[in-house]
Amino acid sequence: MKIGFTGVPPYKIIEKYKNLYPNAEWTDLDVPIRSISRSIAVDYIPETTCSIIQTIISNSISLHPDLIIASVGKGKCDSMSFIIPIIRRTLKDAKIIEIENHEQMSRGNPICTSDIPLIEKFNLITDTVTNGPIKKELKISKATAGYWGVPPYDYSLLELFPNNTHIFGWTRCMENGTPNNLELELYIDHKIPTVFYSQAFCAKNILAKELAKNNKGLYVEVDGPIDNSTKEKIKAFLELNNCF
Amino acid sequence: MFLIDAGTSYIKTLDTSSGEKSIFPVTDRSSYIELKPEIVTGHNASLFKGSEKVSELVALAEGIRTISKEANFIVLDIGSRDMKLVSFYENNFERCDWNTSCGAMIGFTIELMIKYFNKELKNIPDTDKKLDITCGLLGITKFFDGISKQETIEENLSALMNGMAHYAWHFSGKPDRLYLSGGLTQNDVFTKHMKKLIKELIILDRFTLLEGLKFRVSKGL
Repeated sequence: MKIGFTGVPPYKIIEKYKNLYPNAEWTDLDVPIRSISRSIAVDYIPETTCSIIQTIISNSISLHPDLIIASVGKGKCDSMSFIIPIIRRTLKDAKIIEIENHEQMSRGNPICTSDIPLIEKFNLITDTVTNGPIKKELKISKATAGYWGVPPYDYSLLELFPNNTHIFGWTRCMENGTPNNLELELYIDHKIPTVFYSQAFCAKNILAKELAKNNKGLYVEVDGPIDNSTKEKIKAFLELNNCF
Repeated sequence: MFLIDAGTSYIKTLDTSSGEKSIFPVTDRSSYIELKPEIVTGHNASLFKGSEKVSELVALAEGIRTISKEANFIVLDIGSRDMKLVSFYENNFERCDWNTSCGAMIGFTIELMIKYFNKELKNIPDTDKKLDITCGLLGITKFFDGISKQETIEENLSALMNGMAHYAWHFSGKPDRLYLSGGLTQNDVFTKHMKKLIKELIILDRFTLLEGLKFRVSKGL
């Protein structure tokens, strides 16, 4: 049994299918897989679609899960709802469950504020979607930098940041278990130099640009793999703000 | 100490012991490829293996700090391939930006078009006509649309530069006062268009990033 999911579905439904299929192989369809090209998606959707949505289409078609738990609504994005008919048409025998997540109970953000490398923070946060809140204790760090946004398509971007980087934006909502919480998504610490990241062609660019402008942050819009110029821009912003 | 700003189209060098500065076009590879700078910045920095590399934005921020002693200001560096922006507020670094996609290739496009049509800057007229562009390639498209309507090549070259000046002004946040650095400071048509938009345009030269590297040397960074 292969189960794919997108975004942050309600944990109750994840638990339900974990109990029903304890040996199922779970895949986060949002996450790029090295052996699967996201260009598969452009046979189905415009190239001017965000990399994450392209990745979902490419992964779904390549992996052909038996069941897809697809997050839709305000906790994900309109594009997700729009691609579901395409996935249904293409994977005729796959069961697809569309579900909104209106959870408002906070789990907290121990990973976002910890002192571990940023890339590990993201790996742990994405794990919480299927495994629930982190159980081990993490040391809280004094933030010297901030990252606001969704998990990036290209995780090499995260290697540029110091360990004392705190996470804000939708990824913070992910760890909190409340993907549809705009108030938390907009929360930032004004004192921390923050990089506001958004995937190209995503509506969250509006938030990222506005927040960066009002908080002297750095707005970064990236489509797919991060280029060297963008990496240099982030490195310079962190260096000039004495983040290390 | 020998320092290099290895730009996309031009390699700029500074020998700090003699103060001598040189410029080599990137196309003349044999004239610079054997040089051994202690510190290097710029898009082509990787050509100089074994040298310490410094981010272009950091070099710009540190370079402008040695030139301007003001508390609040913005500097825009326009090179062949990109635009870099740094602002200071109350003597502290405030923000930076680096435009490498939209707004890209502006300097290169201007040079390319002038050479392609074999024109001289002194013969390019002033104009209020403006090609609305966000990058060099879109600018070329609009330019060829213009000359297909029997408009003069010279006026459209000026309109192309006017469009690029507007883009640079927007990218800078439409300031009343701006330091302009980089290769386009040498283009009088472009700077004239910029001056129409900005009350006080302070024109530097193309060596600001090297001043930043020199500052790092002096501070032992």
